[in-house]
Amino acid sequence: MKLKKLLAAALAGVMVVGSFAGCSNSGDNGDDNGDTSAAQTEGAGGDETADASGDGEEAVSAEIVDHKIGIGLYTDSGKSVEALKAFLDGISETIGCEFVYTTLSTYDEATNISSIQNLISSGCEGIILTADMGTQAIVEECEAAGVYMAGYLCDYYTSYTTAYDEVFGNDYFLGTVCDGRSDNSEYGTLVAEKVIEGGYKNVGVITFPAYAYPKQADIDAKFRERIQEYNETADEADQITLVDTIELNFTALEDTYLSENPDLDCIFSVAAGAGNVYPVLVANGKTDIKLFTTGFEGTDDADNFGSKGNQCYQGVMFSTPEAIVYPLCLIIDKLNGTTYSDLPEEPEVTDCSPMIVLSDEDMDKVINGAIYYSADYADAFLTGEDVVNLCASYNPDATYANLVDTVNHMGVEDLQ
Amino acid sequence: MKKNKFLDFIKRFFLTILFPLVIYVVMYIIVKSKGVTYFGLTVDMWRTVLVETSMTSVAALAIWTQIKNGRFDFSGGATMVLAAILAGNLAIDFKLSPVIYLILCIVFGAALSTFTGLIYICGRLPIMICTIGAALLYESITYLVYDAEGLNMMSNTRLTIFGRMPYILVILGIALAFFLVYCYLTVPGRRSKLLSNNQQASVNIGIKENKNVIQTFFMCGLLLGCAAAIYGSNNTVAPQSGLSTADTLFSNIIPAYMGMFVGAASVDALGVILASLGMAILNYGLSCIGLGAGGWQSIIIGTFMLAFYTLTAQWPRWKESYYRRKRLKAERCAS
Amino acid sequence: MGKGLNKTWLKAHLGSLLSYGGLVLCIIVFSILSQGGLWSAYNIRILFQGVCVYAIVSMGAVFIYSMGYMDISVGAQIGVYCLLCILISNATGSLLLGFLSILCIALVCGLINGYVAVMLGLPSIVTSIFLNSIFGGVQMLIMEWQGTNSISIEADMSMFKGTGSMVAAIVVIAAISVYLYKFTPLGKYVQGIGANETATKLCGVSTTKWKVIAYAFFGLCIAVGALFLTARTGAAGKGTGTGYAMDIMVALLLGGMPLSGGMRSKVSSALIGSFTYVILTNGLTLAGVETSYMYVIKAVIFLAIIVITCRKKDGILPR
Repeated sequence: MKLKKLLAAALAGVMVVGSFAGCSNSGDNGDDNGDTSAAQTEGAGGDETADASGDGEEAVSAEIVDHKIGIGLYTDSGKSVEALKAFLDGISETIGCEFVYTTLSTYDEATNISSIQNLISSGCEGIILTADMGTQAIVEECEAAGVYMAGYLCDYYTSYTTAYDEVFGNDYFLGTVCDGRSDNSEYGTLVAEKVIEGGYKNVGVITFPAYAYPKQADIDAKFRERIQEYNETADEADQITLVDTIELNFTALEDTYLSENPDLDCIFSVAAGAGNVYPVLVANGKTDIKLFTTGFEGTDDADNFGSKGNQCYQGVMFSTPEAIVYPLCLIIDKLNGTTYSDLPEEPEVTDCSPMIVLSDEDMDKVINGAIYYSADYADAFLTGEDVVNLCASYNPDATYANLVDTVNHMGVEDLQ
Repeated sequence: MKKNKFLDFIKRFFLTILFPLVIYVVMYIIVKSKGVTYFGLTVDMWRTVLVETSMTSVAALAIWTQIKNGRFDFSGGATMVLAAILAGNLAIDFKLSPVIYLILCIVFGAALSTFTGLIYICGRLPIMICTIGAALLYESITYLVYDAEGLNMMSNTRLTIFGRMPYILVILGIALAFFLVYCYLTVPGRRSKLLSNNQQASVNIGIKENKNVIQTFFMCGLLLGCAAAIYGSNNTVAPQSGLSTADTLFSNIIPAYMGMFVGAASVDALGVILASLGMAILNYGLSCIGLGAGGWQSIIIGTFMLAFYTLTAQWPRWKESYYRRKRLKAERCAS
Repeated sequence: MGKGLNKTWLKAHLGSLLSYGGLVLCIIVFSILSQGGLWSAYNIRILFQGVCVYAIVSMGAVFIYSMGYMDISVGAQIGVYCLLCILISNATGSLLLGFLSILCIALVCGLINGYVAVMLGLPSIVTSIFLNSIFGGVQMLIMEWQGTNSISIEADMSMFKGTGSMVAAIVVIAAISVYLYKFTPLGKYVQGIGANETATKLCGVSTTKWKVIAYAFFGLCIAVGALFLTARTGAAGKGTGTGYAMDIMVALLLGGMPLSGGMRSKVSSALIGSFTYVILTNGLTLAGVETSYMYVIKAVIFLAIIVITCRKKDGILPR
């Protein structure tokens, strides 16, 4: 019995000691990672950015100041996160920024506020957020702590329409860059063209609820408008039947949708189809239904795209991680006490180029040359030096217009 | 005598299938009155219903194994999730066959569950507290393995055959066999029953409790492994934290408790499966009339379960009052 | 004699000492690892903000857990009360009316919750799953009807947002809880129910009545917690309250609360547990630990604490 007691005490002791050792080790690991990434940056940056850095070195006029920036991500895993971390790791040493990550909730304000408070407390001077949830309280918190905040991959629509003065009117909110364009309805027209070209006859449209993603209705409207236009001139036999749009309540498509619409040959899922629609098609043995969607996971959607695999995926749209330079440069400049000469008075909701992939060639370009897919800093549109050049505090010639223009040249057509 | 046995069998059979039958009839009337044509005997409907039934039943049997033995295992959901992530990623990386994936799920499920049992007997902790600790530990491991990517193989048609018809029924069969053999045909199963009825007395008569706990946890792990194979085949499994796996567990717990009543006329395992079938039909019916997700679905399901238990909780009282009335009547007749 | 007394006292209070010890150890370790960051004025403020809702709701939950019961519907209840408080306050322009309304609703729901738990005769965790489903559904319905992702409160809640008011709320609720627990029959009976319900019943105590009263008090604490959560976030949505049920359970365990209830239950578990739980996350972030490692460390620390505080020495395995 004594032996058991001793064993139990030893087990508890080992756990406690282990946990504390874990604390310090993790801390060390963090540092190690930082060093490693810095070393990698040197290696990577050395070759592939030779031309870009040449310009950069000439233009950079001030000494790089170190900052700690907190990044609140809407998810903690997936290609987009992997690519974003690879990009930020790659540029961190050159731009003098240490990045700290936290995971936000897309539906719980309290989680987000706690996460941001912890980031501020750990010494972050700037915060970049990817979710508009509890924003008003977060901006107030940032203001009280003297920390600047900006958005990425999010149009801050809820705040824009319900708390504009409190969020956009606050001096500590610097603006946001959308997930693609603020008005992505162009994608609806492009998909409609592909649907007509593909000769599909029965098409379903799926969106997320309007209260959460109000602008998806615009994409749907543009899509329907173009199909309607086509139906007006097409023979009756060639006309396309559009099924009523359904809203997914952030859950997978119900099997009954396929029973209700047994003749479907194409689905346009404006709501992320890779996670919510494709698996249902697989489970029901209906991968012969073609799928156009938003979002890109770089797994099945890449393997079964266009003429590859089961050929189910025919279109995807996503944003590239380099667009984070928009909020990053704004924050760096604010922290350095400099601003662009042409910076608008009110913070803006800015577009970035969406990556619209509707053909095999475009998908090949993404697979072979986009950091989003490879998570390799060498594939990034921008190098650390490029980012430094985009900041007014390091490059007196840098302009806001140039920053906006840069994030608007990150589409598939811009890939090498 | 033979006739009596046959009648008894028919009566028991009817009582056992009564729950899903009633749900089916009620939903049929509601759904048909809304003009939906595909509810009834369509292949699409029964494929969906049977997949959901099997998925819920296997997990519910695992949960029921512990509850039946007087324990509530909070780590069941985490065990399932971690086993699915480990087995699924190994199967993808090494291009293994679906059968190997199933075996790996079962092996990981059994190993993790046995480890939980070891923490329980070495730590001598109250079972709920101990399994909450194990759940937190397994959840945290989901962030450390495979770059915190979880598992995304539900679209892999080759590997996920056990998540679809007809192979999903094979897993249900395996799980049912594990459960029935262990609980009704083995010595450890019977000892488990003794321990759950009177722990102290069972230990006093010489049952080695620690050994039995490990055996039961191992058994439960086999079932959780089966559940993991289905779960990984039908869901994108993300890393988990903050006991979120308890939700996965709770979503399957209701048929486990319902099974107790539904299977009162036969075997508890059958009750669990038929309760799952009833709930799957209810869910499908709700989805047919546009209430498959969202606020109303939650309220309807919650209220339905509440009503079910309110009625069944009163059952012994009704039964008692029925027999009392019968007895009084007989006494009056006799006098 | 003195030595013997000390030994007896130590034995009787070992659980409490270990819980306090866990908290003190956390504070010391994270003070070192955060290089004093734990004690910055800003961090102290956010610690109290983080602890406030957990502490208030946990103190109510102590009465439920003392009976050996468990409630996982607390998160959904918090969500519904936050939403109702905002909607009523925005519609009437009176925050007081909003708060009083949710207080009344919480009281009624607490009574129903308690009665359902007693009436069904099922494990309380199962009955609370039904209620969780119903409350969660109501929360979703409200958001669907509102047609928005998040509803902001129009009333000025700065009064409830300050550290002072949060500390005051914790103190008031703690005082009420301690009074009810130590100096009224409620505390004794809920512990009695947890220790041996049959014996308590045989002593002539109406266990049903006290169970329902305990749930009603829990409901009130949830409503007060919801008010402070609304003050902190200024908004509520379909996910408000997510995770609270499990967080509160873990916090109580860290504070040394036995999940089986009984005479070892105490109100202080709620306070110690809430602080330990919040300091753990905060301290690990300050120490620069990556999120993925943070979960492992928290799990290991949790296991270590429960092994130290909850281990049964001999006899049959605890259930």
